[in-house]
Amino acid sequence: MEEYKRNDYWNGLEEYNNTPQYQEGKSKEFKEDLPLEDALSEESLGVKANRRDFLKIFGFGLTAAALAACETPVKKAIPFVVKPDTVTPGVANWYASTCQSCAAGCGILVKTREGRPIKVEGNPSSPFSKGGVCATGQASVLNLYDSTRMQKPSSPWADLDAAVASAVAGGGKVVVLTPRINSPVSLKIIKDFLAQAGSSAHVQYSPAGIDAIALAHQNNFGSAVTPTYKFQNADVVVSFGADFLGTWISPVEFTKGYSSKRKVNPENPKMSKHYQFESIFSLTGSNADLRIPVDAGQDGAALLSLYNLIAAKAGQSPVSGVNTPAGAAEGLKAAADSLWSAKGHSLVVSGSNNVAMQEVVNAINSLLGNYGKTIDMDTPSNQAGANYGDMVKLVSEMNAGGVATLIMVDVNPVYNYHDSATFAAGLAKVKNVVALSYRVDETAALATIKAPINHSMESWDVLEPKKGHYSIVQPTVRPLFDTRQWQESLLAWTKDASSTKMLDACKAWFTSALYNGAGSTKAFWEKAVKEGGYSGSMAPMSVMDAHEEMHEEDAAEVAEGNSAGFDIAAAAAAIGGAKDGKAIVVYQKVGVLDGHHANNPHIMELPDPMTKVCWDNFVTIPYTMAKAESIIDGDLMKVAAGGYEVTLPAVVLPAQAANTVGICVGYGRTAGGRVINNIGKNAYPFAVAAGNQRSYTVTEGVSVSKTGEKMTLAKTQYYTGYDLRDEGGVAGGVSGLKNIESRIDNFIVKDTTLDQYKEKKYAGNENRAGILHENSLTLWKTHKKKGYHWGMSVDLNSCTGCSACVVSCHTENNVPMVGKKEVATRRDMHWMRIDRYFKGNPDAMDGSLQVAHQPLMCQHCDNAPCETVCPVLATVHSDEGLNQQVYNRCVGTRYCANNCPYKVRRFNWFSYYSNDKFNSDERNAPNGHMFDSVGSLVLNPDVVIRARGVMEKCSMCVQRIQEGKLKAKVARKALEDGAIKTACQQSCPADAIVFGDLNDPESAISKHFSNERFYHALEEVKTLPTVGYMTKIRNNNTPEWHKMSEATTTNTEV
Amino acid sequence: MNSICRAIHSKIARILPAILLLSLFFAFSDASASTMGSIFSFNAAANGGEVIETLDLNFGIGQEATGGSLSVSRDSVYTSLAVIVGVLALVVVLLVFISANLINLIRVREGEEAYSFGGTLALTGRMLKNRSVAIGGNLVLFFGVIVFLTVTARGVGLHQGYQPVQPIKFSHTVHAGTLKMDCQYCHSGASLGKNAWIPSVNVCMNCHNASGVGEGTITGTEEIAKIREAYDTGVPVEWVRIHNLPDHAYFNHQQHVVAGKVACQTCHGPVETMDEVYQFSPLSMGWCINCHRTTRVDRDLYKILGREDAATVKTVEDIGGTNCARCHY
Repeated sequence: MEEYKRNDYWNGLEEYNNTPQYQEGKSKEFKEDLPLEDALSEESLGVKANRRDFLKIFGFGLTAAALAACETPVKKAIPFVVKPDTVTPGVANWYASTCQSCAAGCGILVKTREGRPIKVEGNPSSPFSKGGVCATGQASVLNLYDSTRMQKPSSPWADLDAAVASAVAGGGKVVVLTPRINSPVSLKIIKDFLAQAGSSAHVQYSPAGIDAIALAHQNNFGSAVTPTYKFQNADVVVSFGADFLGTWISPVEFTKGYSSKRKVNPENPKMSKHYQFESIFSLTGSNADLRIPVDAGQDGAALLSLYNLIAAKAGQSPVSGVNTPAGAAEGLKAAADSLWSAKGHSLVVSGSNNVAMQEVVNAINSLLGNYGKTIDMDTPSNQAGANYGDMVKLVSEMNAGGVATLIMVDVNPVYNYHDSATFAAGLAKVKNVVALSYRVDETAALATIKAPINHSMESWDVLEPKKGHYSIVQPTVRPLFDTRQWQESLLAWTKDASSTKMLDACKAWFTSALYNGAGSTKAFWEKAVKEGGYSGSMAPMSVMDAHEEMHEEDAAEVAEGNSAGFDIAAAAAAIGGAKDGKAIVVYQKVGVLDGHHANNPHIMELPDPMTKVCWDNFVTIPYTMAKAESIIDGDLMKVAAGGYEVTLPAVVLPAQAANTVGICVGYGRTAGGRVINNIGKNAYPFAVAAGNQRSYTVTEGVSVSKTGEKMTLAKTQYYTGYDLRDEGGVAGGVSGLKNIESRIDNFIVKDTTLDQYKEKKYAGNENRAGILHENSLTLWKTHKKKGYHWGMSVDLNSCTGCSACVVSCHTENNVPMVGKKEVATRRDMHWMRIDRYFKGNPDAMDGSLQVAHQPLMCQHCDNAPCETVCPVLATVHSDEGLNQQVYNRCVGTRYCANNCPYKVRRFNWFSYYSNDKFNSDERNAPNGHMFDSVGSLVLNPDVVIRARGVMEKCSMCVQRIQEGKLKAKVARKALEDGAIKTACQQSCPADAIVFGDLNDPESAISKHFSNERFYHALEEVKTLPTVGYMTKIRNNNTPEWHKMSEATTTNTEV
Repeated sequence: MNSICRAIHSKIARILPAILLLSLFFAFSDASASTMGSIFSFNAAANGGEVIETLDLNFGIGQEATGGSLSVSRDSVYTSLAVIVGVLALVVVLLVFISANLINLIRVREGEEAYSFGGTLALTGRMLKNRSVAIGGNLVLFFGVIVFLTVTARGVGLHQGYQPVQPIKFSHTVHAGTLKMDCQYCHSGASLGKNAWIPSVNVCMNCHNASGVGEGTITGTEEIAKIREAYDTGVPVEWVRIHNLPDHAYFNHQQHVVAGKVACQTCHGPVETMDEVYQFSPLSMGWCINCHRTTRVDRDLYKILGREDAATVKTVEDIGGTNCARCHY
């Protein structure tokens, strides 16, 4: 076996261990055996035909085709009777609104064409998300067109309203159960509605919320707020398991802030330093400069150790009896030193939902003087989630028969409450169960009255994601079905409501609470709607105040028992000692999040950023455990704890804490919709209530065992490997030159450390000069680009791998989703993918394992290998440097895909829009939206749906380029740099992608291209791409203890 | 004299079969075209012009059948050409017979045996069995078929001359011709974006409102009443779309009308003379490309846009107008 160098990148454990399967597969284009026999069996093809039938069908088909070719279908053109002024057929309208895929409330712009929303983009004027949207938000437009929504109420609206009115009037306690409400208007509506009942309560329930932070601040500072974390001010970030770039509280906002500190200015190179102590491998952890695996049972000890280290520096007395986790000691010391040297501009966060843990975090931040600098308590965030204890109380009250009427708004406790049997039992004791629900899900099915609600794109609302910042939700389409916004239902059920329209309620509240006296109230409201929100004057009662008011009793209790301040000894006692056994971490996966919006093929087919698995949930197994018990990917594992067990396939991740396994939530649905139903297992029951909080870690009584069975996983990482280091690989093909050192060492991801970068600007990119020199000879004619020359650059330093670009690309370009079976057969249609590479020893627990994410799309090569092999000129170069794919010329030889060194071309194996396979429940209807008349409204009318048998790939959003150029021509003005944004670029929360005209020397892209960090992927094969990358700079100047372990580490063989 | 005659004779004898074949071919193709044309025009007429689907096959003859005002189309020119070629071929055959008779006279006068018709036929038969003639004939036939199929196939999906019956007898002659209304008064989308729009009824009602024009000079009140009815009932008018581009071709009116300053008539023909609109241009890719190759561009615009070679660009092709991804994406 070839010996691996320590700085080698590998794309997965199979490659690292050079398994026989991997070796066998790497010589082939398709590394795994294609299940051709299955595919071509009579059963799979769905036909049982003999020769005569075949001839008959063939003959008929031929005749039908010949006849069809002669026929001109009569097309009708039906104009408006009275055209609305605001609708210009053929021209997109953009509406500012707010994303409601999670509680973060990012500002979005919704693109509508002919009155139907087709694309979500970030609103650059949003004060927090600043133009970014995550993958879930990008995909949310497809949820709108979900034809499996509840389309009409269980009885006509008038009857339903009367039934609810009589239920409320019937006496007994009325409870409204909602998700975390960020809207002051909605809170007021709920309050007004409940006021008419004798005894009532409003309970909020977030199945995967983080409520410990607010309670910790209640204990420490006397006000129950989740502060705003300002990563943009933090030079040192230490995170204990908080996946703040992927799923934690407000990931887009945090990514914006975090990445602004990771961009390196060549003049004054500096960047933030990020430490991550975590048990599973999170997206955030993969971006850390130093990531130390710490078992879930020991994260409290790790946190307390950090407290002790900081306390020692601050001259405070340390907590006694803390056993620092062995592997983390050095890392914690380094983190403490960094934090202390960055006092006042550092930040410590924890993903734990344990109040005591969060109190320790607060104490550390307080010692570091971060409050008021990187932690803003004056702008509390409403994004974190509701108090789980309220829900627990409600369930016991229901079981005691104390609730007469339960009105559930868009919640699904039967699925995601930790003890759903008890909830269901309690529900049976409630006389009137009303479900205001988006679909007839597990919970709504048990309700007697079912009222369908609107999608947020059909709704009005005013949100207050952060105190003093109001974000408006405005409808972009009329309700598609006979649904009603839930607030309007409550208004209809409120006797003395002045209006049953949510728009009136929003306008009235907005203008009365916020109007600052400038201009008319109408203009004030309209400006806010147009811009998507308003920040400035404060409402007399913010959402935060309203929530506090709801918890007045609790607050009083706390105030009596515990005055504000830090009691670390008590917190340490509450955290308890380190636990050694196996542990489960229940986490949210990027895209799926808490599972609320997961009935969406764009989300289900998005590869998980770390494991690259599509469509399934799985249990992540640490490499050390896998080695000890010889577990490989796809082995079905039985995971049990607290009387609940699931059987899920294993996915082995390197450098995951040795005793911790991770399972993500959101799967295991039975009534979640046809896309998500019966996929994976439900992990919510593992996350039980610990006191008043939901605990997302299980540290006691966990057993993980192999069942001996296997399951196929649709994992995309290995589909597209490059093999540069061996002959037969891409570089091997350029024979005669492969002895040159620069070529051998050239890898598709280039990285360096900050110190090296400070020394020389081209650090990590040293071999580029040599490659360019060798490449200077050419036999090819160069393409002339006299107008524009489009180029793109991806800053690997900023890219976090969050995958928002992938979904954005898919929705923009009508990319078909193909389902698990086809992805497993390597027929995914992703125009853009993010490759994840590891570097280092997979069982190293000292933080030396490093990760790189690399978005890869068509590189638009000037010397395009695909263009030279196409026999029908279906892929040709444009005079603007684009590699054009002409679908109607393509005859499907697939030579181009074969010849593409980047493996970014995708072949249409099926008519994804008409082959029933892609609309079958059996396959979870991966492309079902293209089949039904509602779902197909989401398609972008400017991009053609590709037919079967043609090759397709990234077009660099040529439709957007054409649109931008036309705008410039019509205005008779030169095209501004940045006026055209590709879909991936627009959605990127980290601003990692730059696109523009290389002919303009002043453009941002030209500056990137001349940067010393800039390189092209596989530059040595001289494809001359117009897409390039900037080297990744890590702020880890190889610590002393790494150098030691480097000397002692021998390469492991399994 | 003798030798000359012999030479002539042998040459004629050799080319005779080929001439026969050619004249037959022309005669047949001519006949087939006109037969098919008449069949389809009969269909169209029999069904009151409702089978608009088949109109594209009628080789221009349906034009007259449905009462189009245009008397000479390109297709009818082809038809007359074919007729002329057929007549000429007939003349050639006659001349061959005349000269053959003359040759026979000479032969009889010189005491040689005269050619009989049967003898000529036998000779022709022998010649047809000749390998090289057979190959040559087959080749001619083969390429003939290919040419025929290519020409036909290139026309598939093209509907030049398509003139469906519209729900309202709206006359562009009156509006755009006599009244000289600007095209973009109604088709105002042309300068705004991709679609030119068929005007919504409220645009018609700007003039045809209750106190406005209620009675036309040609078609009378009946058609205007239809607009008012649509306006009052809110049921939109279902026009039949004439210009259909396939889905894989992107076309933007604004690009041509505003940026390219192309007159509507360039593609849509003399609409101001059309009582009933028909598709003037083939809307084929070749037609698009030809226009892009010959149309001059506004150099000043490209100077403003900062194009490197703005001073020398001539046609749309020079600015990339024949690149695939300008229209196909």
